[in-house]
Amino acid sequence: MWQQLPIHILLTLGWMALWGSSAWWHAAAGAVVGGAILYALTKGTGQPFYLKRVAALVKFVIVFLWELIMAANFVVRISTAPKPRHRPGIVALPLRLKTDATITALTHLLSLTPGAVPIGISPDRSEIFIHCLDLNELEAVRASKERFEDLLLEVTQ
Amino acid sequence: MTEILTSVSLSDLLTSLLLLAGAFLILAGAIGVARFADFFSRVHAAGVPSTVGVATVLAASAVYLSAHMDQVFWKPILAITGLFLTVPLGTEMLARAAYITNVKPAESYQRDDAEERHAVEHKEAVE
Repeated sequence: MWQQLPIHILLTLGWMALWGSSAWWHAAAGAVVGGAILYALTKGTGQPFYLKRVAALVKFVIVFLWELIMAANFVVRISTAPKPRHRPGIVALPLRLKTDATITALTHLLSLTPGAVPIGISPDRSEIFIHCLDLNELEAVRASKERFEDLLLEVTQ
Repeated sequence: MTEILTSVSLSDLLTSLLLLAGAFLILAGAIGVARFADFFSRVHAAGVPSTVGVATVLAASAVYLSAHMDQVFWKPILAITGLFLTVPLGTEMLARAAYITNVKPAESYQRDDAEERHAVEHKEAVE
């Protein structure tokens, strides 16, 4: 999968050599042509195209930044509310990820989402325990967890 | 009036806005830490706003220095990356350690799935 990246770079450099120019528009055109050639090759061999993975990664970063803004907004709203009425609690949510690395990434991301701090996973790795600042917002926490899980599965498989 | 407006460059405006937003977030986090009733709620208030707030202030410094040094200034970006890799981990470990050592919440939880399933073994409370 990732060995497609050096091939892409080589194709781009080859295109630039053919034009005998290092201008950025020739590099850009080379990247597009190289991408098209690679895409055609992956269609032939049935390998997944690596740029799809890159697109998933970009989408991941955008979703993460959005969640971060919502998290800041949420904590500001709760901590400056005239009468704090939040109900804290600890909930167990089902966990679909299986590997150490993805679970670590998920807990890391979850501690930056609105009103959720993970405090552990069950011994058989089927559930993750999350301390929620406000149980009324449980659905939002569940939705963020599902979204991050989907994205992590998309990026890693 | 117009002189003042034209003398403010776009990058300075952006720097000021980022600084104000960051300062506001850090202030809100501090208010949360002061007002919330128990340890677990305070961890929430200390984690997210300080991460995002400090990152925003660092972004302001990146914009300011890039505009005044005629080159893109990358070091704040490096600092932001370090911040995002470490602070959430610290938040999580604090909350986890508190839960394992049986730190009591201000009022008992209406719902505690971890307790129900005996998933986390409590150590003796630390005096």
